[in-house]
Amino acid sequence: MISRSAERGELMDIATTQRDGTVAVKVTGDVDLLSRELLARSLADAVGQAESGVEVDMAGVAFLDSSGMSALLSGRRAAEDAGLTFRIIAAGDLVRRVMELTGVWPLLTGQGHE
Amino acid sequence: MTTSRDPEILDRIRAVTDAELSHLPADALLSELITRTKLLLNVDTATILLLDPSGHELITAATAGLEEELQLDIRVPMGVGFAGRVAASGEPLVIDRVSHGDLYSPVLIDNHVTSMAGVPVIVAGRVVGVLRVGTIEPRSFTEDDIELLRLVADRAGVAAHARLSQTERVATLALQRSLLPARPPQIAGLDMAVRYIPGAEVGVGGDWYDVFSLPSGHVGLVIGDVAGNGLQSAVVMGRIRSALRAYALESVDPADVLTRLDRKIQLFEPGAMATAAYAVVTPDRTSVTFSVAGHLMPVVLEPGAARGHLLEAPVDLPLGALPDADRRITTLAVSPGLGLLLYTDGLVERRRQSIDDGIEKLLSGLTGGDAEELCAAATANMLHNEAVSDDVAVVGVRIR
Repeated sequence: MISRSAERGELMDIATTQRDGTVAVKVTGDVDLLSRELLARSLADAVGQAESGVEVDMAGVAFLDSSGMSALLSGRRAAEDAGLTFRIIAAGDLVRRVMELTGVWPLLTGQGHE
Repeated sequence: MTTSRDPEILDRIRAVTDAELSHLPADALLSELITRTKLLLNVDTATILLLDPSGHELITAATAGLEEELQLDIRVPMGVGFAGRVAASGEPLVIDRVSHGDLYSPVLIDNHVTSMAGVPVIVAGRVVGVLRVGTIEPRSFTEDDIELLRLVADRAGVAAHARLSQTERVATLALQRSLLPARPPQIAGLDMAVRYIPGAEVGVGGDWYDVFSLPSGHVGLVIGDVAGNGLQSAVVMGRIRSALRAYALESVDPADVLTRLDRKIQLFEPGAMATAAYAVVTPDRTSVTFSVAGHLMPVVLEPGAARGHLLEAPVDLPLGALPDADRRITTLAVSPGLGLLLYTDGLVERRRQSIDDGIEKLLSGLTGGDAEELCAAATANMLHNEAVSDDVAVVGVRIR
């Protein structure tokens, strides 16, 4: 399978930092069909490295569609299976609104459904 | 770098970088590359295996020597055997003397192949296959041999990519067409129309619509979006679509149907994620019951209204997101002339624009007309003069 995100890497950047067992993933750019695989892989790596939890900073994300959302939900699922917490700690208005309209905001920000 | 080496090496490199090869179709190019590789390295077997779309198995794409008689029927699980190890690690591998368990191919084992060398085929940073060679007589493959294999693998990667994209595109479109008929069935009491528009950037994705009538006289309306694109997500979409139909035969409660579908996805499609809105129209066409799983709200167009409004309903989690997610229903009383529009996010989401603005534009652009006009108004208004990056699916309904 071909990862289109690698060709279109300019659309999205991911920076990962680790402290006290928590892996912080900072996502910048557009999260769509072309970049979802890269995000999914980065989140899977973060889950693999974390000891207590994964925190995702989406403040720098300008666009999020259903495929981007599925990458976040898969990351959350993997974290839960590994006994870790998973939380989106920041998101801009555009991105937050999409997550609210599709009903995933409480789950992904760790409010409710816990 | 090569100038200081044996002129023979230069010839070897020329043989596999030959510009003439570019004129060959992908399959012929792979065969030619593998034949030349076998001759140049003087080995007994040379094979290119490519990863299948699921990423679980390597399938022989071209082979010369010992495995030729097998008619390209070798499939190697990822991580198993020599090729499986190369694919899993993404690194070259040389074994001067193979031992029990190093090989997977029965042909190589039966012929007592002793020495193996292999390199990954990499495209855009991802392993898409493996090129491996082997000899019956013991041999120590050199750095130069590996370098040549890498050159061939690069060349094969480009061809494999072209072949895969072409085959995938044709297969995906054929599958999509068979699953998404251009015309909905004629159903008494309902006027219906559908649209599917592939994305310009990503081609065919996992969006789907479905419209079916049940023996009880109820009618099911479905819009959904399976994450991902290409053949793999179209295949998953096909299975989810069929499963929903099967559960719809068992229950007219849309939350019940989506709960069963969710359970099926969690169990049999691990890792898959989908959003969906499912509506059931009663046999007398006086009410419609909805259940929404992580999907954008359907639009309601009251009879004679100048614009649409979003259905007032709770949205539950997408399918595949959480085991045993709570699912709710909302029932809407309807009368003749009322319009409904179900759509996927590609219709209203635009880069650097609020989704609320996109939805507002959709709502304000809808007026009277039949189902066909409803779909036309939605797509023309929203996609006018714009290259759509994501794919878009739309179902329009008018109560007669």
